[in-house]
Amino acid sequence: MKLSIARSELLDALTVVSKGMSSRSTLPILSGILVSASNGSLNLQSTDLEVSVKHTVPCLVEDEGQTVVPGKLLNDIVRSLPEAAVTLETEGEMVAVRCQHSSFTFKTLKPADFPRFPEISVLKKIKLPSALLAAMVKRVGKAVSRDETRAVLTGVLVVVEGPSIRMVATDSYRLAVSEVILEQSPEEDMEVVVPGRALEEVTRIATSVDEVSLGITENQIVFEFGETTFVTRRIEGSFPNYKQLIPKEKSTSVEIVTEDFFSAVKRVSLMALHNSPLKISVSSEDQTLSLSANTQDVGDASEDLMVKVEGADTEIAFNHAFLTDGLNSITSETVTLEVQNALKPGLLRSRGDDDFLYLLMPVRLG
Amino acid sequence: MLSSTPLMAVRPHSTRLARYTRHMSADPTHACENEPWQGRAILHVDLDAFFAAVEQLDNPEYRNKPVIVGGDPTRRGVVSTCSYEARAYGVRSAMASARAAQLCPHAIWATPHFDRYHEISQAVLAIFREQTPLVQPVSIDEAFLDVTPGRFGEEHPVTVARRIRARIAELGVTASVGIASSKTVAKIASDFDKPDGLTIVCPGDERAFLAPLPVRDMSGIGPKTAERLHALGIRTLGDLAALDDATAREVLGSHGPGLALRARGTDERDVRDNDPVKSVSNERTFSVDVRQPSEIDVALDRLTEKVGQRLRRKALAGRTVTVKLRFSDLSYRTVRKSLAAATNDEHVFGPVARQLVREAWTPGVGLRLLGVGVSGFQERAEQLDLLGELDGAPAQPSAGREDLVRGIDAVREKFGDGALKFGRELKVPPDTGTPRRD
Repeated sequence: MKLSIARSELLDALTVVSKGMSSRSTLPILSGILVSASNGSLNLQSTDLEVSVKHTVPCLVEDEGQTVVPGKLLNDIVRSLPEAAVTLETEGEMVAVRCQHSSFTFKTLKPADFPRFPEISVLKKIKLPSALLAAMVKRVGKAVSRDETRAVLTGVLVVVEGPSIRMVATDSYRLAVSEVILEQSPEEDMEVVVPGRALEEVTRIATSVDEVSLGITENQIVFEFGETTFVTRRIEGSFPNYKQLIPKEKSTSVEIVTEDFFSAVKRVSLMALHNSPLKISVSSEDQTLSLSANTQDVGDASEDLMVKVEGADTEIAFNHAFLTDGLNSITSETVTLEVQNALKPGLLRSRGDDDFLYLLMPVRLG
Repeated sequence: MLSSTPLMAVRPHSTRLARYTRHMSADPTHACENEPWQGRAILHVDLDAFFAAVEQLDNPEYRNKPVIVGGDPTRRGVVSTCSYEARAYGVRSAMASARAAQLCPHAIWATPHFDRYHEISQAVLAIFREQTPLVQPVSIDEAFLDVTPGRFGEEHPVTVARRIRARIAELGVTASVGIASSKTVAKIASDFDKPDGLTIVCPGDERAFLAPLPVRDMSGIGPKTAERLHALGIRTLGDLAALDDATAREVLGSHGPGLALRARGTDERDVRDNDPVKSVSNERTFSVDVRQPSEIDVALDRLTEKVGQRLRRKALAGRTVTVKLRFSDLSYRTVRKSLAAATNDEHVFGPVARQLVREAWTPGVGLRLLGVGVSGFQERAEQLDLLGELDGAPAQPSAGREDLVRGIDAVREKFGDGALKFGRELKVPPDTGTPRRD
């Protein structure tokens, strides 16, 4: 195998497939990238057996062929090269990487050992604007659980119904729901739990394309965009019935200028060290919302905000990082905080065209 | 800098000194009792041979006999407290039990009943609090009280002191009381005429009272400091009082001037409620070095349980877990770890303590002492679970455990610590019978 390609194009391609590379080296072959040159293009593949990524980029092929190169090493080498043409050439069990006056030769792995790319037989498929996908994933991403013991919570529930697409994520402390009405109804409805990590990575690499297609197979999810195919497993198990969690009642509703609330929360949180809670107290008579935090042996902070209060006075405490995450996802100028009582979830609602809900369980004091 | 005052013993001349003589159980009228008390009045109340006194109270057959509370003399125990009858044989607190047994072979050895000591101590504290809100308990058997006339009452301090002694006597134990214008002098005064004594140092007499006493009598002067002072010919508090600041600093370091000032009877420290608790800990010295991981786990479980119980009783929760180990070679090792959130549940901090022990202890090495502490207190805050709200959601594992812990606490609160035990505790290695509290 022998091919030549511009260094930046090779680097971009490697960045895409490195999302599927395994960092754990229990199976050395999984730390490699399958490199194939044929028909004037370079095809790269990677897999960690959970995520598989395939990417094709045009190149100058002198000799067709295939090899598996250590992924991280190739990535590091290409990243360090000057912006010029890069040549990859296999020499027996070795591969040579040359660029201008630099030359690297290193061992390859056997292509025969490399897992085959998953067979894909798509059952349903929808197309989404990539910017929209990225925006939605960003809004719910923080609420995705990192706790592998409850696998279903490490995923994002994606529901397509008519013209609407909804994404839901929860780590059992907070729940984020983002819903958007699409200009064009997708061809089919669907409901699937997509691993949160995969969704985030797809949005990170699908920046130069307009559209991403999301397909589901029996047990896999397939993203296709540009010259990339990204396959991940579907998460088994049923997602919690989140609709049941969203309170139907509220005793207090507070309307706040989002930016004011967000910056005040960030300020007061500086004194909520070691997970100490951020306390919120709402006065309907004064039409104020007071934030306070204190850390034993360090100090305290407080701030009052002028707000619009409807309903009873209330006090509630939250984990400040969770509240910050929620406010960070609000794009509307004002936000509504709805509270039932100090032990029931508080609800942040976006006010505006977009529909975003952030349900946050309080912290019980004492 | 050298002082112009030579280092020499200066004895203050005072004929009033004769007033301060030790008298057994007498309670004579003092000169200043009939005059209004001027300035601050601080009482120091010290229960006499407290643990031993309680044993003698509860076991009439022990009365008027040498009683030693502490570790078994056949093992590696120490004397916790001994009755005055035992002191006559030279037995002292903190002495090795084996040595005490040699000095007083016919002594009665009592195993400690801490629940009972705690109970009486609480009753004594309640008596104090009836007299003044300004009570500073120093330990289970001593406290300072501010009874300055005009502050919370108009009574003469000596009247208050007599009433306190009488009320304590009704409980079946005795106390020695010192009355003075400062904490330092009151503490020395209470020790002046033990047991069952009342020593009054009238305002203005402080320096004369202290002058003839050995330096060691003042709190803050330990054996090392005393040794250094003796080497310089400073034997009495009067000698110490005569030092100027520069010399005191030279001889005793930065604390020197303060010590000299106190030796002159000047001590402005207030009686106040104890500093806020900074940590809750418990430790055990094993009578035989422990080497088996299983034995260590059992002992650790008991310690963490105790610490959890005390945290909950004080409504505290902390984020830092500390484990203290002392090995066969008497070397110490302390390891600590911070938790994500404050807790007072031993099921949360216990496993962390166990992990710390694993890190600090090499299997096979003998362990002589094991201690566990929780510090870094902050408001306990529990992040509630959203999905717990869902129908049919499994109960949160912590909820049932919390109920269990509270239930156990309630049973022990009512029926005593021994009322309820875990099966694993049956394997607890014996200790020396001298648990330390702090």
